[in-house]
Amino acid sequence: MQNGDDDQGRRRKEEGGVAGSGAAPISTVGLSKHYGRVPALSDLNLDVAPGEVFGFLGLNGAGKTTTIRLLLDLIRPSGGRALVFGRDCRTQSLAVRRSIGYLPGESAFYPDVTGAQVLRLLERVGGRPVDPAWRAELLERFDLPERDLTRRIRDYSTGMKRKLAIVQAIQHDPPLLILDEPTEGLDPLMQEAFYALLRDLTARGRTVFLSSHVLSEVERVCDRVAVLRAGRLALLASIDGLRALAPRRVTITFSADVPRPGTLGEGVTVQAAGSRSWCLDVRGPLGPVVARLATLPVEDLDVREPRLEDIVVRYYRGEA
Amino acid sequence: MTRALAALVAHSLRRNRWLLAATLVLLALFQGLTSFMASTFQEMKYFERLATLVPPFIRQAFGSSFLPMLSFTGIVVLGYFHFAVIAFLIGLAIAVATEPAADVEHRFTDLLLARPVPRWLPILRSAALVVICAAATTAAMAAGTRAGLALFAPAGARWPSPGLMLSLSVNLGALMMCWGGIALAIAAAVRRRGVAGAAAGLAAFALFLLDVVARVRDPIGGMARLSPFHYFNPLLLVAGQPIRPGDPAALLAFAAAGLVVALLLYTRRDLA
Repeated sequence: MQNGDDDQGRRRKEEGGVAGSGAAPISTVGLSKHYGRVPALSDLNLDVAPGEVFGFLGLNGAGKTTTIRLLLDLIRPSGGRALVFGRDCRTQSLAVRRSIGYLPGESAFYPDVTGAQVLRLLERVGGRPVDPAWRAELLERFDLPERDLTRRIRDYSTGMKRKLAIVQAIQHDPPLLILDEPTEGLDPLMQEAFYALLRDLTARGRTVFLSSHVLSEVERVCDRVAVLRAGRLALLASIDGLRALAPRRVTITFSADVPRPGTLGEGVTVQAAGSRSWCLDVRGPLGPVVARLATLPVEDLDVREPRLEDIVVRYYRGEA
Repeated sequence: MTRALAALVAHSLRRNRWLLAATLVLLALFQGLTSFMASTFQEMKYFERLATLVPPFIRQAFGSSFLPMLSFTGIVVLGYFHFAVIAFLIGLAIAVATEPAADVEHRFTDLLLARPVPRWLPILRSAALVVICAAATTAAMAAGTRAGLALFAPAGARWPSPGLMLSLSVNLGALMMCWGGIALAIAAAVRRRGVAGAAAGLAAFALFLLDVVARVRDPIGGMARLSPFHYFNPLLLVAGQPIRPGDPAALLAFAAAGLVVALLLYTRRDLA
């Protein structure tokens, strides 16, 4: 009982001193990593705010995993520095890692141990006490019953390994979660369970740094995103700000022949114009377009919000 | 940190428990079998006849250490210098010591070192496992020998003295730790357990050859000191010579050097 009280007291003190310190959960300053003469990451400057879900995007080899490994001190920077809750990831690595829950992008389990053995081992070396009730809740949310935990991991499906990996990352309830491709291999129901868990975690003030290829997922769960291209930061924006960067696609169908649109005002580009339909890209308010249409025989009006894919892929390709 | 180290050691032991248990049982059985063989030869008075049957050039080639092998004690403690047993135990030490490379290969390092676990801890875990394996295997061999003698030794047969058994165990255990240390140093620098194991095995074989050649070729005799096998002389112990403290000390120095190199390499490298 005494130990439990000590643990809880230490944890509260730690969270007060680390997560509650006001320092950014993640901050990188000129962070770089070179393998020989090949740059994997160049001059990354990034700040992740407390309580936000931060999406980290990029093609394969863009430097996402390199950044994550630098934060965890698994690899050493060639230049710059990374801070977690104000602590240097290199020189105060143990304190940094005490505040992190990490979900690797690939399965990292030995196949000849059981799920329960993995969770127990990682609890014992974890540096933060695990609340059995919280772990039980996680196991229930991800549909991992006791009988599955007693099986060897070699008998697990890809989805089960992923669920176990998520539980091990979160079971000690760290203030910062670093998740590499979290829903890879999860079925749609488990993806929903994961999104619900993320909502609960952020509601409790946890910060999430999430690397993903699934742009619809990023759009759904993230507050801000960074896009890496060839090891460099190509874009840093909020999801709403990102949408504002792209035009809405407006398609108008007419019930009678109309003249060509001509100039429709600033921010409006005519993509296609026929006698019975126009296709426009509109940046900013729709008011001027609607005013122009008021005198025309409009049969149908379709406004499509920009998709994150449309915007981000341009940054991936270097077109933006 | 002691708790984390104990957890890691227990985890590795649990993963390898069947291999270790089978090894211990086989070694004990082997020693029991040699005791049975020695007892049978003793009862049939083979040892007296065997000694006279050995041609002089064989005696000359193998020196004074050869004849003790053809004694009751020599056969009883055969496992402590039999080539197959030595090769197997060195292989076991290498297998146990290369776990850091397996951790990287399976990406278990990512899970482990994402926790507040210092880099030296997985290395220390493997060093502890090598020591545990060396202690357990020599203990199993001693137990097998003791049980075999109790079951099979004829009345009046001279059992190997406790001092000899201890000296042989220390010698063999030190050799295992030596190769464990060398393998650990290699494993700390590479990403694949197979690479680490192959490199350590190759080094063991090369240094064994160096020792063999250096023992019969005076011009390169000095180079034999570079080989750990130079410090492993169980036949001299069987012949009745006292253990030279410098021998196990040299083997343990190899082990310690390997451990230091492993710590330096592993704490400085990129784990990717």
